[in-house]
Amino acid sequence: MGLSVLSMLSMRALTLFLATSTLLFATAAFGQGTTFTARAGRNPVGVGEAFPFDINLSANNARMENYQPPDFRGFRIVAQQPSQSTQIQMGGGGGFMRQNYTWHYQLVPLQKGKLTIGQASVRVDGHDLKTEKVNVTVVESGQAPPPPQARQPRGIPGFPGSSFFFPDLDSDEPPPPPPQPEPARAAGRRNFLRVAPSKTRAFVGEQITVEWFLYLTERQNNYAPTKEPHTDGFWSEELDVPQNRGGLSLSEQVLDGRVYLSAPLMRKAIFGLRPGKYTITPLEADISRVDFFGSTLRSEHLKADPVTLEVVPLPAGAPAGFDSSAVGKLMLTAEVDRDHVQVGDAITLKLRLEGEGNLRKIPLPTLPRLDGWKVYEPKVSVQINHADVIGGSKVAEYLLLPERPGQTTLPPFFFSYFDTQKAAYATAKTNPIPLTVTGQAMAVQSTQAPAATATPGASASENLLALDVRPLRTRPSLRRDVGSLLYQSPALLGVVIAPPLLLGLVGAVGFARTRLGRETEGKRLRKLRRSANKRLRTATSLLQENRLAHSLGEIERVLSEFLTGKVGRPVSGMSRDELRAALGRLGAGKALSETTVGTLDICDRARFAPGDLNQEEASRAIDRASEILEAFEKLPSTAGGAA
Amino acid sequence: MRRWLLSAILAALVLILAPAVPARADFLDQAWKRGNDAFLRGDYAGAAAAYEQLDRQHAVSADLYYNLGVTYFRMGHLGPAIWAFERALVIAPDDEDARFNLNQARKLADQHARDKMEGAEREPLWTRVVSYFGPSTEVWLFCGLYLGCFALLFLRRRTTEDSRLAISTAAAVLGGVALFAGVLLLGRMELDRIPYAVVLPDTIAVKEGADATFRTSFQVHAGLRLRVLEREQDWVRVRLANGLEGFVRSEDLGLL
Repeated sequence: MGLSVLSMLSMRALTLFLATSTLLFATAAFGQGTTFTARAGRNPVGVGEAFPFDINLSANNARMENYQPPDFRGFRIVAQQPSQSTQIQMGGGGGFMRQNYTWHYQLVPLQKGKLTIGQASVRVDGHDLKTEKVNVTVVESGQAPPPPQARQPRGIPGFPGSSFFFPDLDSDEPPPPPPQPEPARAAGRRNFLRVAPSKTRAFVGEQITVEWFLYLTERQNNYAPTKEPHTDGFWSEELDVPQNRGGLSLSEQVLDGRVYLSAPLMRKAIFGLRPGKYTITPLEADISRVDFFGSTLRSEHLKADPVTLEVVPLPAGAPAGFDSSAVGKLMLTAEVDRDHVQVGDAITLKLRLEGEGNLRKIPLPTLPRLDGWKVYEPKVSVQINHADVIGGSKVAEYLLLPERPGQTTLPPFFFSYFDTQKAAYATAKTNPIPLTVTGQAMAVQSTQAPAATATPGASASENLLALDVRPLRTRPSLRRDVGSLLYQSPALLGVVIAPPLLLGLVGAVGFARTRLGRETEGKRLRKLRRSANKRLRTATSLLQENRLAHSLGEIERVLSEFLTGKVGRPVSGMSRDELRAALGRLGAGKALSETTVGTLDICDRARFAPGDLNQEEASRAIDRASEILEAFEKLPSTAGGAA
Repeated sequence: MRRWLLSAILAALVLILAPAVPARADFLDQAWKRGNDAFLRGDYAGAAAAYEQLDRQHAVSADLYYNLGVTYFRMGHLGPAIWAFERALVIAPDDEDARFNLNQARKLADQHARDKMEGAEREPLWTRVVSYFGPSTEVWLFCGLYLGCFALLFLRRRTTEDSRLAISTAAAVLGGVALFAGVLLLGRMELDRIPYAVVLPDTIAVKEGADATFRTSFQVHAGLRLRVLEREQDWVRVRLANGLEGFVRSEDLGLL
């Protein structure tokens, strides 16, 4: 309801503002001629940081054509949006129409230094207009001053320009603290965590709301907090955090000219226990992106900044019996379920404290001793509202058992607290409650019974143990079931697949090694051919150096090795006839056999009578050897099995 | 060279995994402690919130669900308490405390309302067999035997001809038992394909179709175990032990 009234007021104010602005602007505009200007939204700006750049054309009843954007060299255009508006004014002298054209650009500088955005041009009523060149100073990322007002479509406390950091305190309260330095963030950084306390200074027992937000430059698949902030020196309560079906509630936010996906992660209401300065340790979390199969593509560890808060003592003048945790806005009531009872019938007295404050810690007033009544230990229940401000109710249920007839008056209960809104101490008081007891007095003496486990409705001598469960497990750390975790994890599939895969792989590698280790016929011949070619080259070079004996020695080795390989046994020890027979078995014709033997004879001559040879003969022997090798290569080998 | 490579891979794995595991453990332990502290000072809602946070973080722990059950019980939420104790027993079937508390919660729930089922069939033998052990026991049994079998097969490649027969026999025995454990595990997976769930609110109306406007077929009460057959947006089709079927909102059920 209140919100809708506020909205209506805001709408009216906005309408009025717009109307006034339009009128003023129109009045001013009609007095002007045609303007064509360019303006950078920020200057200087950091490398990689987006900033707005606007080109505006304003003209009276003009025809605009042929707009040419400026040269944005050194910048990347991340967004552009033209817009047009027309203002019309009717008057005694006739109508005026003024048109405004704006080209909005969102630019990102790509390099550091002084960059110049060129001139934009346009033709208006046949006249060419140009904007001035605009110089933009581009500094290191993160060193540019923040924009004067960051756009904030959905409010998150703690943003620049927000007063949420330092709420006003009354003059008699402690003076507001100096502004805490903004934590390093955003500009130049990618994903980050941000902490935003509602205030940095508070009274003992006063609520400070601390919120942690996640800022992402792009959507992530996983978010896992790894370290919770420690709030030593404070009483801490968790506050509700909006979530989408168990996930983070991401929304777009613009911070320092950059668009982020932001989500609230954690909210805590903390209450200072003692005066002093305390530091809330950072929240740490891991974010990651995964691929289609769930494998992590990229992960990042994020850490928020620590935040230091000051807790100041409450003002002097606290009333007697005041407890320092009783801070907030509170109300006390007392009621009985009936005020007329028989001796032996129980009355239930409910003492209820409700409102805003750290109700869990605030003690309730105690019931004084009542003569003629047996009073059981109260059953205390607390109902806490975890929305924005911690509050709710705390109820003490006393079971009162009258032991003799008569009139009794339950005295008023007093409760003192520090009202943070009024910044003053206050005392709540309940009304006295008259009770009437009828019937015969009981024989049992009145005592203050420590019957904490007694069940309402049970007689005084009976200790009824109600249906209950076994107690909580309070191990210091959570014992996780790794087996069940493995059962639910895709890693189990890995455990199943990996061993046979590995065994198969080892087998395959062994098999391949065996196969590769075995020398096949083709492989052996290729090897022979390679060796032969090498020796022929050596023989040729020796021939060129006129070392005929050496050259023909190489030829002999070539032929011997090659033929040994083909025949399957050494040919060097064979007689010429044995060699002819062996070559014949290979399928060599008589001519080839004789050529081979003849070439080998020449080589023998070179060994035993080197002076008999000339260069031409040696050269022919090399050529022949080459031909012999080629010819034998074409013949099937008998060495396959014998080699 | 090979040993050096293996050492490097192991060192890299340790370096990658070591910081992540304690960090998560630290966080889970903090939430666990926060839940316990809240419970002990009487803040059951705070305790439940901390334990539920652990549940959302997929912290599989019988202790977690045990404590969550005790907390729900203290809050008077019997349906969720029964679900939590059942969940603890799924993880650790031999958890005596969880079984005792489950019975207590069921007794108390029966005092409010009891679903007496006509013609309810006993669960088939294979279901009872595969759920006799917890998933953890089955997983460890299977992994131990399976990996042991393959370890022997690897070893067999390295040994002499004389000892190969003995190793082969041992591997075959391990493989056979691993096969049995694997069948148990597959049976559990099959069982989980049509999961059990527990009714959370005190009473829910089971509809004939997946919409609140459909006619109510029958009512069920907190703590009743049923099976979830299929999901249709925010509704699920459920089947009772006696074969009755209908649709309920998914938020009214706690999956086991």
